[in-house]
This record gives sequence, structure tokens and C-alpha cells, in this order.
Amino acid sequence: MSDALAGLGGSADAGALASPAPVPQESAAGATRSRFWARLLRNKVAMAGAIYLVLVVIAAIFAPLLTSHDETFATRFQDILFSPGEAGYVLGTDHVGRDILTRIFFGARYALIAGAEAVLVALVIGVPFGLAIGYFRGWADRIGMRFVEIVVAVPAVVMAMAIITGLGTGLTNAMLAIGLVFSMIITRLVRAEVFAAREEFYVDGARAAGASDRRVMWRHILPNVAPPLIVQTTLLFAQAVLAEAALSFLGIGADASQASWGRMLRDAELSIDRTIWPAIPPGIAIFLTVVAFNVFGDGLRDAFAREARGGRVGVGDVVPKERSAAAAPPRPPGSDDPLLSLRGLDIVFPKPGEGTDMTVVRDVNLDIGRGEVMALVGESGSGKTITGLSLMGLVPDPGQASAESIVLDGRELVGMDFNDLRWIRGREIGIIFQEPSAALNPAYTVGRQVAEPLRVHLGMSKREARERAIELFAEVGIPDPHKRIDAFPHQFSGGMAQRVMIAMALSCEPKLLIADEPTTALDVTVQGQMLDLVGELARSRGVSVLLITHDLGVVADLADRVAVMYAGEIVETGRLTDVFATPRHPYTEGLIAAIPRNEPRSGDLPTIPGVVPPPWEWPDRCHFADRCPYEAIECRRGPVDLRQLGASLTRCERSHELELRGVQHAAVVAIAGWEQPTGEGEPA
Amino acid sequence: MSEPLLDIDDVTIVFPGGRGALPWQKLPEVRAVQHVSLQIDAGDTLGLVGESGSGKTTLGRAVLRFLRPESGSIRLGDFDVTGFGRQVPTEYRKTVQVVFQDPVGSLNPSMVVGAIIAEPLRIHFGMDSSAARERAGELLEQVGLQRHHLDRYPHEFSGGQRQRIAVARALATEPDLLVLDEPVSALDVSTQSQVINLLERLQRETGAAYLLIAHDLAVVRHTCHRIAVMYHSRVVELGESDDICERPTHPYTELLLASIPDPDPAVQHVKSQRRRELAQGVAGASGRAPTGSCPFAERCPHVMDVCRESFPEPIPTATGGTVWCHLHTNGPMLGGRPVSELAAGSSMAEASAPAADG
Amino acid sequence: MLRLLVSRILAAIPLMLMVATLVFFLAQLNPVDPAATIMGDDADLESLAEKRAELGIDRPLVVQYWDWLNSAVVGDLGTNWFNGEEITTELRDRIPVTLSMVFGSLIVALAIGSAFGVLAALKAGRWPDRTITVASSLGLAVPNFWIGLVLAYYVGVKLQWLPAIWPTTRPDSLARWVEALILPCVALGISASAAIARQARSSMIGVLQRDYVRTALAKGLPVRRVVSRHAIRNAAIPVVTLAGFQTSALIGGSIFVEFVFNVPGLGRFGVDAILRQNMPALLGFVIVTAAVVVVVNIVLDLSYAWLNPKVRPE
Repeated sequence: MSDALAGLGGSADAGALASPAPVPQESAAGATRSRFWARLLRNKVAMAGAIYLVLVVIAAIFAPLLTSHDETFATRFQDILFSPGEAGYVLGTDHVGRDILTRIFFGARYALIAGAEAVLVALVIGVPFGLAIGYFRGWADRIGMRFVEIVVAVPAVVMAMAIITGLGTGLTNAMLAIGLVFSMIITRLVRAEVFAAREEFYVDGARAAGASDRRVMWRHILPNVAPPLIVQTTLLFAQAVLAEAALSFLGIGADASQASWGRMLRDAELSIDRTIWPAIPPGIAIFLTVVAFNVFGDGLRDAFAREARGGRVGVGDVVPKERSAAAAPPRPPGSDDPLLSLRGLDIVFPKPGEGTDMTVVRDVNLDIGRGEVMALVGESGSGKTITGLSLMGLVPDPGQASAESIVLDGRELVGMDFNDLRWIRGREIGIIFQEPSAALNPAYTVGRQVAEPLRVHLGMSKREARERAIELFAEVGIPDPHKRIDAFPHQFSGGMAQRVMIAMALSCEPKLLIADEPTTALDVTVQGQMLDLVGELARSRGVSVLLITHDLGVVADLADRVAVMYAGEIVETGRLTDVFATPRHPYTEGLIAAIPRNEPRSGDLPTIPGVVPPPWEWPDRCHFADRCPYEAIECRRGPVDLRQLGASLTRCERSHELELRGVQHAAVVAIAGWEQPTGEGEPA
Repeated sequence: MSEPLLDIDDVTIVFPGGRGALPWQKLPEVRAVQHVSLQIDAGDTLGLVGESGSGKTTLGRAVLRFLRPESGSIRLGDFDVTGFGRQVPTEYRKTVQVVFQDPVGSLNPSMVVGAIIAEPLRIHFGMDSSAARERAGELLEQVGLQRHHLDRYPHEFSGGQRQRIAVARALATEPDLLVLDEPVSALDVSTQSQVINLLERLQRETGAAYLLIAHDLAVVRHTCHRIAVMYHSRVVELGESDDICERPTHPYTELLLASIPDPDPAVQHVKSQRRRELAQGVAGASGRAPTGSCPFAERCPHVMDVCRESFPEPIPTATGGTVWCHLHTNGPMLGGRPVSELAAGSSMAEASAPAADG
Repeated sequence: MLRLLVSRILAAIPLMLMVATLVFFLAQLNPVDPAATIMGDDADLESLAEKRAELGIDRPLVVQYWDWLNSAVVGDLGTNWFNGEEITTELRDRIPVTLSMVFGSLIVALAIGSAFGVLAALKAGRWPDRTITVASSLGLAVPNFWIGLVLAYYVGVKLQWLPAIWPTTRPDSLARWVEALILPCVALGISASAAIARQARSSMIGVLQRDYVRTALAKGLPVRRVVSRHAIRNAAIPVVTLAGFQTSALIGGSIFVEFVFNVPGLGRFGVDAILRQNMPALLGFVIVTAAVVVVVNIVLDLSYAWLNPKVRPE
């Protein structure tokens, strides 16, 4: 079941689609208390529920003071079934002349006490039980869960009724029974949460630190189980109020002397042939109380971990942007007739937690030549992935992309709406992603998924598409294509799944292939094969490739030209050999130096001090200045434009005066047996 | 020669198979680690390298005594780790500490940094809260953070900073051995080297030994004195870092080295050539590890019949390491290429005798 | 698929056995003497003892249990202590009534709930979503027996559109059967629809953020196809899980709705059994209810396997 429910994971990773920036992760329990309360207080619906509940509590406590009537005895027996307002009875009277308002106030008492009893029983039994079987697992879990299964195999009310048969009827017994059944729900919840928490490394960390089982359970696991538990407790309280009313309505809960809301409904039924009125106030009281608990519980859940926003098919196209008045920037070096030419791309996202916008990609220009492999290199948060997605009109919600122009093979893409772009996506531009297994739909065979664009774009019949898919499988090196075409994605290893993705991306013979970190999720020995495959297919079909990666080694293997991104900007671009041999930007130099290589070393590894700042901290000047070893006064003046230096473009004020170090050839030691036999030490 | 600090002797780790679709069906067990022997001297760093599914993390967890091997023994100092019962002695927890890969998941999100670092101090040194806080502050400074970070929650830090906090927590008990499970692989390149430099400085300062588990040979080379290469449950080669990385004697080690892309386009050109020659068959270890043969046989460009019939005995290499490969006993000519190309500068003939205790 | 079916059925047998055992012994906790309940307060000791012997409850518990179990296995759930009827026969008459009510509401709830849930997800954050979200949280809170009373009074008694209570004679045509079912089903189905709508909304929102939806868009598929082919099927998986829980909840809820509309179903039988400490009737009631839940869960397991290839046995 956990597998089936994997899709439910409530982790609010809004940036997951493209991770435009290192958005601070707000995990459930990690949110500081003040932020939790701020979020809860801002939730008007939840607050309305909370206020209503406070009123119910007040009514329950002060019931005798709020009314002059008695809960169980009629004031005057001739006052039977008075309408509201009649003779001073605000809500009228019931079939034996008792004041309904009074009974509603007292009913609040029974509802709260009954709810509290059931929830308390459920927690006292369920929490330790769930913690124990979740933590110790093994036989304890097997026996415990079997027991839970037995209890929940029967509807909760039925099981409660069976327990009531054993205990005898009455409100206390009824709620005890309900509590026992609910304890199974709590047990299951706590166990599942403990299972999840046990997989967390911080629990292993605590065990490694020497914390005892008990300490791990109470100090490390329980606090992180608490949020869902609190939410569930609130919702169960609502269920308990409902159950109390229901059982009292049947006559196996509250007895005739107790003015519970459910009992009132039962009494109202006796006079229903004359009027329905006595049934209305208790019904509404139950209804509102349950609603209040539910909305408050939902509010708590949202405050603990906000649901990811959006959910609509959350992507958008690129909107046109005014051409900037300033002098045209230098053309990115490259061919005169590029396949794709991107000018002035900006992407903004709303800043997390606030209404203001932040720019995550600024003024990106890019030219990709025909049949050329262009690498877009950067660390996480540089904006490289989202730049690639914007070319297909796939900027995830709530991002907003705008550009002066995107020309693909002579056609302007900016200004096309989402549906026009559909004929570009898959047909003119293919894309492969970082996580091949997640990028394939688990519900369909891979063959159907590869055939889909063939049918949509090329109008092939089912049969033709399948035949073509089999050919494609063979071309991307999937063994046994006839058989594998009918397999499901989970039956493929990561490398094979990526081959499927490549087959799909190339199925309609696109002109451009976007490869977004195509090897990052794969094992190192598989990575190489994937690079070879992409390179080979691109060359043989004349496809241009936009290779998005953080790995300079991958770039060196495949790329013809390279653009280096840092904090939303392209800081350097040029031919691969130029950029790597003679970098023109200090960030490129730092990146080249920091990459671990197979070479002997001395002293500390070179590093770039500090971290990539989040987008809302990007300054209005050189984004890299704070980490730059060459930073000088002129770097702090204002925004830096791209400028030509040698055959490259660079976004550095001091580039003309700096001597930056590129990749060092001499440092690399050739491994024996490579290039030529060493000739030394023949076998004796 | 003194005893090694950590002595892993002929350890095999087996995971029971899950249940099948039918209630009485049992899936076969998974042999995650088979007959692995490794030693680490005090103050030394051993790199354990392999791809996913190689068993490297499982072996690390056995050292941490999060799981118990099926057979073999693990000894650390005076502790007989495999002899522990359900309760692991607190003293042992003090001696061995761990840093995990995931900088997000490895710190309890509901505790402030101060409490996270203070926990081991209070457990192992019985410090009161003010003393623990004082010491936690020192530790934070030692890993390059500031005292005022004590009252922050983990989610307020970047990945690299979180790894520093995890290191501070691990060092709090003044351990003899630190198990580092992919400590930098989730970090950006520029942050990776910061954490590596930190770990090296701390080793010089504290004298702790490291077991560094990683998939990237280049990273491991820079950090480790010795390297053990694992493939699909077996250690296939063991030796000094520079020897492993410059004169590999196992075909898998060579493939690994050829697969690490290099930022120098010229070097990468040579490497990718070699990679294509070496990479054969279906890439990636899959399925269950075989018990009676070399797990690399299916992918090995030099595979011989004997490779499918038995797993080789350990053979000393010329550079003082050990290799588990039939090529070194059943060579020397393969496909027209002398074995010496795989093990340059070594003399194979001497290597035929199994070296049990090296 | 057949293997999956067989394995689920085999796993259900011990489960049912354990349920029976648990309920049997639970019910014995009550110190009240059933014989006294049947004979009334003024019965003398001798006739009480006689009655106990007749009912077989003077024997040791274990013997009683074993006896009951032996006949239960072959479908004989004993004799009703109060009216001497075969319990199996009584249940057989009542099961179709309750089940048609439960499944009627479930199917309608699934249709309405899924449609509104998906709509809300696709319009997340805009007015259709907000309306549906509010409506569903109200719907969850409506006590079914209360809304049943209100519907019976206004629609049944005042407007006379539909029967306010179940016909005293067995409905003779399908039309009358359906007519009699409408109000109980509405009362019963409101909360289930609301719950399903909420689940459908949240799982759809989750699925729409998955990588494979992005892949489908990147292939150039029309949004309609992305939603209907790639998203809905995966979003259905948690909804199916919920449908399992909801079936159980609907059976529980039917007890109250049957009470309101005077429906001669399982629920009234069960309530009577509890109020009168009627042990064989109670056991029969619980066993049959559990069996229905178990069967529904088996069906759901199979539909899982259809929706999610990962759980299909190789």
C-alpha cells in the first residue's frame, strides 16, 4: 500500500519541477514555532472554527448559568412542542416540554466529554502501541498489525457496537468502545509515521550518537510524528462527536436523562409526525461542531506543512518582452545561422512566503548552431534547468518567463500560446530529464509511451507507431526490443529507462534535443554509455543538443560550445576549448579548479569560498563578487554586461586584466595501459 | 606492527527476501556483502568505492552495528562488534560515529543545532546543559560555523553547512573511527571541496580514522590513504590510493577510472576511447549477486570460463595491494593483450599463491 | 491476476476466523444473563436454568465457541434466541437491501466525488476549487441520520415526492425499489462523496506535479490528453484505497440510515441484537459485515493491480 500511496506524499517541495533556486526547505516539524502560529492565525477558516469551538467550550462549562431552565425536566408540561420564541423559549420546546436551547447548551457538555473520552482512550492506547510496533518491527509488528487488521476489517461502528455488547450500553461505555476502535487508527498512523521516520538518517544519527531506544523513540521520532498525530486527533475528535450523536440516536449511547445532541434527535423523532423542528437545532449543533473541528484540523495540517500551490497543469509559455533600449549586447559567438537563438530571457518566481517577485534567470542570450552540442553549465540554483524548460514553454507554475525572442529554425516562439507550442514540443524539440524512472508514467508500458508522440505528431496508426517504437528501441541499444516494448517502467534499470527516454525524445526526429542532467542519476559506468549514445545519435541525425549539466567532465566529453551560468546569469560563453583552456570569468576558473580529478595532489583542494546565494539575495551588481578572489572596487558599481574577450563573452569587470587558469594538462597522469603500453616491468 | 583499529574479517551480510504474492511464497535472500575482509589503522582513511548496489553502504552500517552480519567478524579496538547483543554498548557508540550523505535528512528537523550537537555530549560525558552548550559552540567553530548558529534549526542552513553540523555532531564524542557515507555527493562542486578540506583538517587535529564510502574514485583518491573497490557484494581490489588510481589491476577498477569524465577535453577524449573498449554487455550490476563466480564476469572484456565457475582467491599485486581476479592466476594472454597492460610494472608469476593474511 | 485473487482469498480466511473469535469473546464480557433478558425479570431460577440449557450457554465458553464455529463454517450461524428463526435465513433476506443501499451510494459517491475532485484540482486556487473544497468539508460533517430525518420530513412527508420510509411490503418492481432507495442513498452518500472529492483533489494535485506529467507535456500532447491519460489513472490509486475505507464507513452508516427510514436491512438487525444481548444474531451480523468488507477489499486489490503495474505479481 505504501507504494500505491507514494503519490500522496505531501512534501511541499514547490520547486521540485525545476528547482529554480535553493528554496529553504520547510519540513513539517522544522518550521519554527512562530512561523507555524503565524500561518495558522492567517488561516481565516481555521480561526473561525477555533472561535466556534471556544464558544462551545464556554457553553459547556457555563451551561447552568446560561439558562434558567432545567436540562432534563420540563418547566411546565403543557409547554409541549412550542415553536421558537413562544413563551420565552428561544428555540422552543420538545415533545415533553423541555427547553431546547437549554438542552443544546448541556448537549455541548456531553459532546465534548464524550469526544475527549474517546480521543483520550485512542491516544493512550494507540500512541505507545504504534510507537512500539513501528520501532521494534519484526514479530511485534506482525502480531500488532494483524490485530489492527482484524479490528478494522469490521466497520468502526459495528466493532464499537460489538464492544458495547460486551461492556453494556451507556454513554461512557459507548465512548470507550469508540475510543478502542479509534486507537487502531492512531496505531496505524503512528506506526506508519515511525516507519517513515526510521528511514530518516537523523534517526540513525541519533542511534550512532548513542541514544537509547527509548530516547530515540521519544526525543527523535515522536516530535516528528506529532504533527500528523495532532491533525488526526483533531479530526478524530470530530468523528467522536458524530459517533456519540449516532449511538445516542440509536439508544445505545446517552440515556434518557442525558441531554446529548444525539439523544435530542432520538426524542425529536418521536414527534416527527407533528413537527421536525426539535430535530433542527441539535442537528445543526452537531454539524457545526464537526465542521469546526474539521476545518481547524485542516488548518493545523496546512500550518504544519503547506500543500504545494498550484496543481493545475502547472506550466506556462514565454511572454514577449520589450526590447531593451540599451545597446544590443554582443552576439554570442557561434555560427551565423543558428538553429535556435534566444534573446533576453527573464524568469521570475514569487518569493517563498511573501508576495514579492524574485528574478531567478536574468537576461539570458543563447545561440545553438545546427548539429552543435551546446552545454549549459552551473551549480544547483543557477537557473540552468529552468532556462531549458522555458524553450519549450514548460516553465513551472507560478514562474513567469518573458523574452525578447526565441527563434527556432526561423520561427518565432515567443508569443505563441501554450497550445501552439504543442506542435513544437516533442516534434521540433525533444527533451530528456535527470530522473528517467520518475519521468516515465508508471501506469503504462514503455512502448505505448514511446508510440504516443508518433501517433499525435506524425499521425501514425497504432501498428506503425509500435513498429517504429521497436526500431527506436533497437537504435538506442535496448536489448530484446520486441519484448521490452511491452514492459513497464519499473522493470527497467535507470540506464535502460534513460534509453527509453532518449528513444521517446528522438521519436519525431526533432531538430533540438534538450538533455537536462541526463547522466546525474546514473551509476558512473552507465553515465559514459549514455554520453556516447547521445553524442552518436545527435551526430548521425544532425540534431543540435542543449546539454544542461553541473559536471565539467560531461561537458568536456560531449560539448562543442559552453555557457556557464551562475546565480541566474550567463557569466561566460564560448567554444569549449577556449573556455576550458583560457577561462575569462573567475567563477569558471574556480569551477574548473574545484572539480575533483584523477590526479595526485598536494595540499588542500581548491575551493570557491561561501555558497551560492538564494535569488532574493542577488545583488544589483556582479552576482559573484562576494565569493570572488579578484573582487575590486569596480565590481561593486552596478550590473555587469557581457563583453567580448578573445573568442568568448564574459560578464566580468576585470576580465581584461586577469590571468585566469584553465584546465591544467600536465597535472593529469595517464593510467598505465592507456594510449600506449608502458613497456616497463614485463612479466617475469 | 600494531593491531589495526578496525578489523573486518570475512564478513558476509544477507538480507532476508521479502514475501511473494502468495502468502507462503518467500523471495530468495539478497547477499549484499560476501566474504569481505578489510582493516583500517588508527588515524588512517580507507576509501570504500563502488556503484549503487555494491554493498558499500551495507558494510558501513554493519560497522556501525545497525545490522548484524550473517557470518564473519568485525572488531574495533577492544570491541567485538559482531558479538554484541541487542543492546550496543554506549562506549562503542562513543568510539564510532557517522556522517550521512543526505544533508537534509540527517539532522532532526525538530531540534535546534545546539540540541543536536549536545545530545552525544550529554549521553557520553554526562555534561549538564550549560557545559554541553559551551562545548557544542566550540565544535561549531571547529567546523567553520559560528556560536550563534546554536539556536537555529537545520532547515535554515545550506547543504554544505548542514554537513558541517553533522560533522560537529559526529566529532562530539571524540570518536576513534568516523564512518563517512557519501558525505559530499549531494553537494555542489564548489562546496564539496570545502567539506573534504574540513574533514582532512579535522583528521589531522583529532587523529580519528575514517571509513569513507563513496562512488566517485576521484573524490576518494584525494581523501584516502587506501582504497577498496567493491562490485556487487565483493571487494575486488584493495591498495594504496595512488596505485589503485594509476595502476589498477582489476578490469572493473579500470572501467571505473575510465568512466570518470575529465574536464580536459584532450584527456577526456582518450578516456572515453578506453571506456568504450572496456564497457561491454549490459551496464550496471543487476539482479542478485552470484555466490560462486566473479560478479563482474558478465561485463568483463577479459572474461574466461573460470570466472563463471569460481570467485578468485586474493592475489597480492606488485604495488603491495590485493586483487581478486582470475586474470592474475590464469593469464597472461587475453585477446592478444598481455595482462601486464592491466597491471603495469608487476610480476604476475609470483602472484599465484593466495595471500590469506597478507 | 488469478494468483493474486487466490492469495487474497486465502489470506482472508484466517482474518475472518480471527474476527469471529474476537467478537465472540468480546461479547462474553457482559455479565448480564441472556436468559434473564429473554424470560423477563420475574422468571424463577429453575426456568432460567432451563432456558440457559436450551440456549446452550451453560456450557463452558470454549465448547460454545467451538460449536458455533463448526456450524458457522458450513454456513449455519445458529438460531435467533428471541424468535427462533435461522439467523442465516434472516440475514439472507436483509443483505440485498443493505448492499443495494451501500453500493448505490458508493457508486454515486465515486462518480460525483471524483468528478468534482478532479475539477477542483485542475482549477486549484480558483473559485471552482474553493467552492468544492468548502462544500466537501461541509459534506463531511453532516450526520447522515440527521440529514435522513430532514429529507424524510421535507421530501417524503411534506412534498410527498419520494417514500419517507421503506415500504412495509417488499418492493415488487425495480422502479419502486429504486424509488425507495433514493433518499437513504442520498443521506448515506453525502459524506462519502465529500471524502472522495477531497482525496481525488489532493491526489490529482500531487500527480500533476510528477515528472511524468512534465514528460507528457514535453511530448506535445494536448492538455486534455495529459490529464485524462497520464494523470487520472495514477491519481485514482489513492482514491481506490479510500473507496475501501468508505465501503466500510458506508456499511457502518447504513445502520443509522436504516433506523431513520425503517429499512429492513442488516443495521436494524444488528442494533436489535445489541439492545437485546442476542448473541448469535450479533455474531452473525458482525461476520457478515466483515465478509462484505473483506470481499470489497479483494476487489479493490485487483483493481490496484490493474491501475498500478508495480504491484502485479510477476
